[in-house]
Amino acid sequence: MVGLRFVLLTLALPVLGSWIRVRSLPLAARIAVYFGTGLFTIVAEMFVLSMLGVRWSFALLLPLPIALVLWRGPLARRHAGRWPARADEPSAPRPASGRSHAILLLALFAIAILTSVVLAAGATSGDFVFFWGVKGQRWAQERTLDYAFTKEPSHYMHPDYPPLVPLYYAWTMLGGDGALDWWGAMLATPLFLLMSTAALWGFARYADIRAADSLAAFFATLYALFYIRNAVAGNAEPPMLFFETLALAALTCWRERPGEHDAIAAIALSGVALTKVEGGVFVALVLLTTWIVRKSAWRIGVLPVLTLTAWLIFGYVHGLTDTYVPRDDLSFAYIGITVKEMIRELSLHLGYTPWIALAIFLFSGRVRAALPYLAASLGFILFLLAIYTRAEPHLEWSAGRTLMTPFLLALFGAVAAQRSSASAPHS
Amino acid sequence: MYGLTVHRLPTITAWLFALAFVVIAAREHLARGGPMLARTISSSSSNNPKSAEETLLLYEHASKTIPRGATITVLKPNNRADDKQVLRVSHGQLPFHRVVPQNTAPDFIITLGGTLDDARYEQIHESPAGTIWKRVRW
Repeated sequence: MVGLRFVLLTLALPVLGSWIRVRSLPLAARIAVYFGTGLFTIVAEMFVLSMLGVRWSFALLLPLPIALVLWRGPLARRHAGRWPARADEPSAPRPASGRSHAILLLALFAIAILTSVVLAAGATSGDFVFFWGVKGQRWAQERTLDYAFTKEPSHYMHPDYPPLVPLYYAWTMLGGDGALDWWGAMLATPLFLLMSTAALWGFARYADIRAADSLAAFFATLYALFYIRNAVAGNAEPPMLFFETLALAALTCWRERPGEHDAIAAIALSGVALTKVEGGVFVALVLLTTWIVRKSAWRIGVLPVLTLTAWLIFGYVHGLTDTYVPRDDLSFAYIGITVKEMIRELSLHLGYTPWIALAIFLFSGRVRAALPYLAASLGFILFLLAIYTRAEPHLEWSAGRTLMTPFLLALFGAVAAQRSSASAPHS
Repeated sequence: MYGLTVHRLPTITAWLFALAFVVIAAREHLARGGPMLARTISSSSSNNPKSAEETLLLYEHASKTIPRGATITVLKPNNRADDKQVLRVSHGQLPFHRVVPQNTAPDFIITLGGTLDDARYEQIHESPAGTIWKRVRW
């Protein structure tokens, strides 16, 4: 059902991303960080080669990450004696208890249900069949970001959509026969959720947040349900939410000083910027939030802004602008009806219960620490209102997918609130 | 006592909600047929699962049997308004062929439902989803 090439090239990503230095995170979170870093490294290389007009190949893509891994990877660090044993680490996370394992099993069970739904083709996205998968396959065949095919109006390929997902699919086809592994691409959806959960759980444990296991299980079960109901298998939402989770976890879950995971956050935000159009808005809001929290955000802002700018310039130069004609024009004259529909969609079709749970998480921690993230969440909802406001907003078509991001921002408000009330780091 | 409750509140909340979400997910999955290996990626399409599955199986047959590099197009004779959507799917499902717009006369045509009224083409394969036609006259 899933080809060996897809599996091996996906499993290679955490290895190729292991050049990034991580602190003493639990293994699951380290793998998530390496996976995100590897994916961004490879995709960035493919994008740069496309900008230069050079067709990609293993010979061109592998040397850089391999050199980085040999220079800075775990083996190099161990060899240089810079990787202290776990017991010596000042920030070694607490071992998980039996009760932790039980709730984490619940998280894994939710991801298993999602996997089962994907295998039953019950979460297949139309957009995946119409353009995400098609673009990936075409670019892989041409071994470059084929803008001529992508911008052809009769193809309806949404040329302005950022390229990370099709580039990832193209990577999994490298050296193959030119056909996308459609099942593999869909099964990457539960993998992305697993990696997102690992990131949230591992970083929260690292930060000594008491409710780390509970928050991770809450996240995994809720987002598994979201992914099933919104049928996002093969779409860009799962990788975007993975990068968003990784970025927010890196920013909110610190032990010794804020900013200790800035390199990870910068790479993850760059991944967000290169995955979906609204990713740029997310990046802007997170940078603004970080600036409010820390009074400085330039360190994590450079790479994502550079990445987004490079994509926008590439798109402008090659005519990758949207060819999609909206049903009717945007106008704030319709803001009333749009707000009404938005309020209905904010129930998340679960009777607003996820927000109730979130409020409990918030008020059992230090709410003040959550405020910037809640403001960012509100900012994202306002952005959605601005792009939905038209005579017939039809939020029911896509709000289930787009609202996953502001809910995640609010959830990390709860993480920040819990972190602020966590016990002092042990040394 | 109060402090202990507040301390455990997030954990209790998470347990309850996580359990509820898992139950909802499992129940909805079972209501739609439960665990199975679908024959195609569109076998549980929300609009018309059977038709979507048969269509992808026809694409699969075409992909394996039509000579690589041949020009091909796909259309619904009874619903030409769908031409653009059909062409998008065709680009993905016919990876080894040159998919061309419907207003051309390619080497092969796949009709989804309905027949092709064109003397230049001859039927070479039929399935519940449609028919594959080969151009034999110029």
